[in-house]
Amino acid sequence: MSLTEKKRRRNLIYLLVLCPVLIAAGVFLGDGWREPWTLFHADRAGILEIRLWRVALGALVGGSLAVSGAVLQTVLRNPLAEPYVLGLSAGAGLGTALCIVLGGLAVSAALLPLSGFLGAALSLLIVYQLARTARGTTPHTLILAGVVWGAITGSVLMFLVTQSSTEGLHAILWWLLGDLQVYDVHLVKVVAVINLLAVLALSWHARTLNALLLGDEGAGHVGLHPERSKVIVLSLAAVLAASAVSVSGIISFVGLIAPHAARGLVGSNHQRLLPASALGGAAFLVWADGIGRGLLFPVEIPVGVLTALIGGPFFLILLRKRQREIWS
Amino acid sequence: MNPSPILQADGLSAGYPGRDVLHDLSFSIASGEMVGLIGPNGAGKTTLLRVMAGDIAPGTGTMRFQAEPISSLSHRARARSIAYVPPTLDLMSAMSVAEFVALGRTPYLEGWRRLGSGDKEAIERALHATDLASFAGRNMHELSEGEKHRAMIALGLAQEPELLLLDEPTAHLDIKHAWQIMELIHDLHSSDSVTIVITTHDLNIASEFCTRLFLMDQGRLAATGVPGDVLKDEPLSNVYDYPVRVVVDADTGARRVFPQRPQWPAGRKS
Repeated sequence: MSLTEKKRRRNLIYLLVLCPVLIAAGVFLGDGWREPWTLFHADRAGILEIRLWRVALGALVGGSLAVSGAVLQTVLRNPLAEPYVLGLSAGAGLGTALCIVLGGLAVSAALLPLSGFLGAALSLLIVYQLARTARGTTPHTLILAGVVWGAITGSVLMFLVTQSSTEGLHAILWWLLGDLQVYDVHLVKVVAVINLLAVLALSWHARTLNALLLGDEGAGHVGLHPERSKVIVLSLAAVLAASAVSVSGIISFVGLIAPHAARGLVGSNHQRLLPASALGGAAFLVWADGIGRGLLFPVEIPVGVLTALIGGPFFLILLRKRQREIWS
Repeated sequence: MNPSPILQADGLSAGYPGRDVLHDLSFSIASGEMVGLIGPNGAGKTTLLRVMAGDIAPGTGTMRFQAEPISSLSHRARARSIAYVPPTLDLMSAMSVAEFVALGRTPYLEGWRRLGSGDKEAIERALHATDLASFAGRNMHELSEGEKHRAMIALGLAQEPELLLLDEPTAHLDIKHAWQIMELIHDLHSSDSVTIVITTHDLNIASEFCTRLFLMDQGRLAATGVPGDVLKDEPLSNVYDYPVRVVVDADTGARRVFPQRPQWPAGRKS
């Protein structure tokens, strides 16, 4: 079952080639996937453009959530950690919704991911403090704290929804389920820049993340300032999750599935794990969204519903596995 | 004169919040020594080792590494000079032995910089010294306990330290693996002149391999000196609170410690 290092390197190369192809192929998913060539007919140019944006957003959000999940799992030493499960996404959603309600969007598009980040960072801090023990966090307390925190913030979010104008209600509800429709091209561009920078920063810290696999003390013994390093990489993980939420709403379990699959293929070395998670998460979400649009056309299944249907059982399987089996 | 000390403690007290474990210790360890910290559970062996590693800052007094207070060194500078090998490994990941040992190069690398030739040589040397060269591509979780411990030592060696601290390096190992590990550590000490401090409960190992022993009792040094001076019936029996007898093998000169079961019930009368 375990791969040699050589195979892991080779798997990364396969992913580097395969995932971009899968992501690009995502434009053909949805209505008319049986006749893909028609997409390039002049009368469907509008559809092609919409699809391109949608695929780009799916890749952006999927990649962000996956990298965020990979980092959270390593730093919290918890295989079940993930932005949605830990209540980060709900916290970011609340922050974002508050920003909308208070009229922040009129000031600057960047305020949306920023307020989302504050919500996510605060959520992470609260959940982590509730669940921490001397040896890191135990999977189950962290998950419990995250789920309950998610329920609390979620209900405040629901309250805001009920207080908002009726015409916006459907959009917000759709957004709560997770939605990859591009409402605001400018916002997507802002988020893309923010998250690209965050991923670059994390890749700069790949060795830090590797050293954190030794635990706090072990990381200290190889020259890290463990507390400082953890704050930096956790903040970057919160940025990724929050920005993703600000453009797509709350999409569950991508941050769980993609990093675990990536770890199985390329191992725990973050110099390989981060790019593999990013690409895997991007391809996964683009395809989940495409299938959601095409499967029951003209009925559209929200992408968050699909990822939960796939990710939920995956989560339950991980929950039943022993810690050691998951990581190896 | 004495060679300059690599470690020097002056009036050192240290411990955990609300509980001092070490009380007013003063000693120095010279470059090239192999020191064994011995003593009963709770005597402060591991705490002292962790003060040497810089994990625990002294409450009062100082612990100096090459004349520099350890707590004033940056984590990175410390990791380039001092390596600490914990008694057990709680590694949650899928990585090869080579990748694991490469973590020892962390204090020398930053950001996107890849392993340079110097880094690769250090890793190679560490793998060779621990007899793990043929294991480099294997996965960490496939290793036996003894092999895993060798990998942990290799990680420490990849840091190219001047001081190597090992907490209970032979715990959980059978005689063969324990003594092989100690031979390996002893080789590092004699051929590469790395200064070594270990904690151990195995007094026979301490006797056989260490150049000097610190017998600790309730956070203080009950006795220090070469094994022949420290491993004697009376101080050991007192500190460990159990009767022991030290026997010197007539042929080899090896010094061995034998716990003595109290004569029961005759022992109670006396």
